[in-house]
Amino acid sequence: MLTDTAYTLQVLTFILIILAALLLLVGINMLRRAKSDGAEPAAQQPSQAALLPRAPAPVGGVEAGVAAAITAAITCMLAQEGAQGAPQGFVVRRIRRI
Amino acid sequence: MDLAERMGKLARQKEALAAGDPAAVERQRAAGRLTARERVQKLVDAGSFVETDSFMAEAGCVTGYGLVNQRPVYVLAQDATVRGGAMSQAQKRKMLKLLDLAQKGGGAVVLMPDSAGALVTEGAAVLSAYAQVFACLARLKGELPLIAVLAGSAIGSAAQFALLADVAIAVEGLCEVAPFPASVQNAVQGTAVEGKKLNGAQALAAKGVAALTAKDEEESLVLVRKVIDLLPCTAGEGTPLEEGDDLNRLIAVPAADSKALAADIADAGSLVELYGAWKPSARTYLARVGGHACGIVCCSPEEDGGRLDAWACDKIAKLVTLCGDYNLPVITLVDSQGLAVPAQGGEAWLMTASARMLSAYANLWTPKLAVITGNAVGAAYVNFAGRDMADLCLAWPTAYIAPLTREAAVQTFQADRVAEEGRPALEQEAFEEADAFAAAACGLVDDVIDPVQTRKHLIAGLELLADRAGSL
Repeated sequence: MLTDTAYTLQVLTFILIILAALLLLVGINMLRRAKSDGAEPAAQQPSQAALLPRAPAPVGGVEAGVAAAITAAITCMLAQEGAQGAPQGFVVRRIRRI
Repeated sequence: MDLAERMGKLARQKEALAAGDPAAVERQRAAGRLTARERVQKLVDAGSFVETDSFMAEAGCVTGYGLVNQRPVYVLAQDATVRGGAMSQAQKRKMLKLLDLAQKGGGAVVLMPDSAGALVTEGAAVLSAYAQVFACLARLKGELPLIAVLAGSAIGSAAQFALLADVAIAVEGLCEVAPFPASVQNAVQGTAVEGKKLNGAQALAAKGVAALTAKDEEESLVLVRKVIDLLPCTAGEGTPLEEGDDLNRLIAVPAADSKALAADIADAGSLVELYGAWKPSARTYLARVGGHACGIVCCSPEEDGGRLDAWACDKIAKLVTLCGDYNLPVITLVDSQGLAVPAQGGEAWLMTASARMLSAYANLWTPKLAVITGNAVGAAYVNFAGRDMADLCLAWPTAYIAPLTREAAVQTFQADRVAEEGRPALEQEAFEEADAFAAAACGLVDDVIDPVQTRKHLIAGLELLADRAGSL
């Protein structure tokens, strides 16, 4: 079982990870928009890539990315908890007596 | 004579004593039995045995001390190859000297009776010899662990060697232990049963005389070593803690039966069942739990709902008393419908034996932990789990704690509703009114626990209370 301080630190770490992921996604999105605004008109001949079937676009854009980041963070957290056996309750330890 | 010459004489005499009478040794081997010295050497750690009074060869017994798993033991082995191993004045002197040494040094005493009886040519004096040896053993009982290996004959007074021991181990096909010879028993009872069948290992185990049986002498000595490992050297000491199994191991639930449950709670490979062939409605064990040597009492719901008859109460009282004598905590796994209704005329013995069991628990000063895994009806709760009977009482969510069984409760209080609502619904209602949560709500149990965590809770309890049992 984690101590209270260690647990708080862990939660703060995950919050920071989520915030970082958010900032990254927003940044990427802004870059994409800027690129599309200043881009040349499409070429006469479609590129080979354009002829290939496209992967479906993420629904909701930034929101979907946020959800994915949060899910990933929670999954990571739960995996760590499971590895430490926390759901099994208390841990027995030897009592040292002098 | 110079030293070299005297040393030569010493060596020759020692060799002659060790070899014994070749014809008698051959007879012992032909009977499928080890000699006394072979038994002793196979019991103790290699090279650790020191024989005492070896020059008193005519005493017909081998005495001495050695180590078992580095802990001291004292051995008294009657030597059937010398005067039939018969009790005599000389044998008495040799035995008493060793018992005196054992009392001073501390350590388990291993008794290996194997004799044709007493040396009757000594007249009534030989009875005095028996009396002195048995009185000494009776005084030592509860002070030093006494373990008997029954691999030969112990007929008549010699049978007391088995009965005075804390744990007696009988070897199949070799031992014969009884207060009378088989010929006398057959004459009185009008039977014609062979001695080893009438008073052999299986019969002794079925009558609750032998706590353990072994297929051969080698196995019996392995069992002695295992039992010694679970007991302290003296009543004033604790049994050394032994690290091994995982303290936080979860147990498998449901267990196949009560024995499987006890085995899962105990540290791997440490369980030794005592009196397993006798009254299986209660099972008694020595084991380690979280490294702590302890006794485990286990009701067997698969045997008549775990109802306890007089002999089962007596069996439990024996283990609890043993644990009290040798500083061992007692874990009780409770799942019993209470006392069994005796056959006509059996009430007095039931009351006596159940009171003996109750007294054993009440007077036990070592840690007492109870887990109610199923029913704790009437006397089962009172004796095993009630306040002052258990230092810590835990219950599984399946527990039922009440003065009456569910069936009896419905019959007594809800008879008028049976026709309309049916017994199953009313019995379920009775269960819910007296389940683990109801008991915990009024403090009848200390906690309701997840069954898979039973071992962990018990180890935590033993760790907390271990000092009272003097664990090292």
